[in-house]
Amino acid sequence: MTVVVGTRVLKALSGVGAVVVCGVSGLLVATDPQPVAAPLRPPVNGASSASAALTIPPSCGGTAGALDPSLLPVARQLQQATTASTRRNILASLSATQRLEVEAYLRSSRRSASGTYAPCDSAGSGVATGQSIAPSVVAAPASTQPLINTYVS
Amino acid sequence: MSGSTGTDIHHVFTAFGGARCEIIACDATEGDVSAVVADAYAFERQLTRFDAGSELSRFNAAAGARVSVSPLLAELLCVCLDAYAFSDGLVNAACLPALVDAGYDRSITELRRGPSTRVQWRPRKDVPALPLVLEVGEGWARVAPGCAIDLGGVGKGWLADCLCERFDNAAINLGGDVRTRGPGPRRSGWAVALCDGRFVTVGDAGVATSGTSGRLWPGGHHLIDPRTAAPARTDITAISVVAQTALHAEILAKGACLIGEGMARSWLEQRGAACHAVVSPATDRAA
Repeated sequence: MTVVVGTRVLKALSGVGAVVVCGVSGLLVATDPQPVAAPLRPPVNGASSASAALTIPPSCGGTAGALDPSLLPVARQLQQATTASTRRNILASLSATQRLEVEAYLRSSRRSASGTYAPCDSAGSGVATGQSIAPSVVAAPASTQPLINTYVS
Repeated sequence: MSGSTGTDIHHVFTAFGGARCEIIACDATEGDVSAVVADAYAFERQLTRFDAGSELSRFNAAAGARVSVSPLLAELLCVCLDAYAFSDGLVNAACLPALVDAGYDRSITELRRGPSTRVQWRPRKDVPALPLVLEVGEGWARVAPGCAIDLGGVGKGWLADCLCERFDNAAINLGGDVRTRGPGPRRSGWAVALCDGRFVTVGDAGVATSGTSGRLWPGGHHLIDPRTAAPARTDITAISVVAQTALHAEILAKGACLIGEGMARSWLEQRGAACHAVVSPATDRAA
C-alpha cells in the first residue's frame, strides 16, 4: 500500500515530532534527581542550607584503611579500654607511627559504625557515640590569665 | 621550654614548619607527654608536602594511579572530603597546585629566607572540586592527574583532637589549632587567648584561628580561595573560632575567613560555632 503525503503534511509532522522530542527531553531533565551533595562551587552570597547540627556528613565509603594485622589486637584492646590512662598505657607499647596508624584506624572504624563523623569519643572510652559534643564556654574569674594561645599559622 | 607542677606538665616544642606547639596535661606523666610530641613529629614526617619521601608526597607524585595508603593517610583524606562538604567547598585540600603557584613552593622557614623560585605567578581558572578529583577506598586512594593534596590545617586540627583525647584533662596546641578537654588545671576551665586579644574559657572544645596575617611572604600568603585559585582577598585579617573540636574550629575559621566579615557570623552560627573573634583592617573590632 502506498500512502501519498504532501509536503505540508510532512512539514507539519516533523514539527510535531520536534515538539514531542523536545518536550519529552525537557520533562526527563526536569524530573531527573539532582545530586544532593554535588560539588558545586561555594556560594559567594546567600546563606548556606546546611543544618545547624554540627555533624559532618561522611564523604568516604566508610571503610577503615588496612591496618597491619599485627596491630589489630592492640586496636581491639584500645576499643575496650574504659579510661584514658588505660588507653595511654596500651599505646605506650607502640612506636609513634604505630600509634597514629592504630588511632586513625579506630577513627575510620567509628565513622563506618556510626555513619557520621564522630570526632570525639565518650570520656576517652574509645567507643563511638555517633553524637557530637557541644563546646563548653565557661565563666572565669576576672583574674584569669590565658593558658594557651590560638593564632594564624 | 618545659615545666612541671606536680602532675601538671607544660611542654613547648616546635613542629609543622616552625610552628609553636604546646601541651598542658594534668595528671599525666613525662612519658605520656613525650609520646604526644613523638607522635606530632611522626605525623609531620609522614604527611608533610615538603619532603619528597613522605607518604603524602609519594601519593601526590603518583597522581592518576590507585595507590595503597596507610590507615593514617586514608583517614586524613576522608577528613578532607568531609571538610569540603561541611564548608560548602571552601576548605578544599586540592588547593595545593594553586598554593605552589602563589609561591608557597617550599617550607615557610625556607621561603622567608629568600624569594620563591617561581618566576611568575600564573593564575588558574579555579580549584577542582575535591570529590571529583579524590577517591578513597579500603586501603587505597587516588588523586586525579594534575591534582595534588595538601592537608594543611585540617591535619593539625585532626591530630590535636586525636592526641588530646588520650587525656581526661589536657590542652594541646599545634600551631594555633587548640583542643582542650576536661576542667583545666584549676578546674575553672581552659583560658584560651583569641586573635583579638580577648580570651575565652572553655572545657571540652576546639579553638582555631585562620587569616592572612600568618605564613606571609613577599607578594603572597598561604590562604588560597578555591573560588579564584589565588591568595584570598578578604576583609578579615584573622578570625578565631570556638567549636566542638579543633578540626571543626579549623574548618570553620578558614571558611569564615574566606567568606568575609559580612557573612561570617551567620555562616558560623549555621554550623554550630560557639563563638568567634575577628580582626579586620577596616574595623579592628571583635565580633
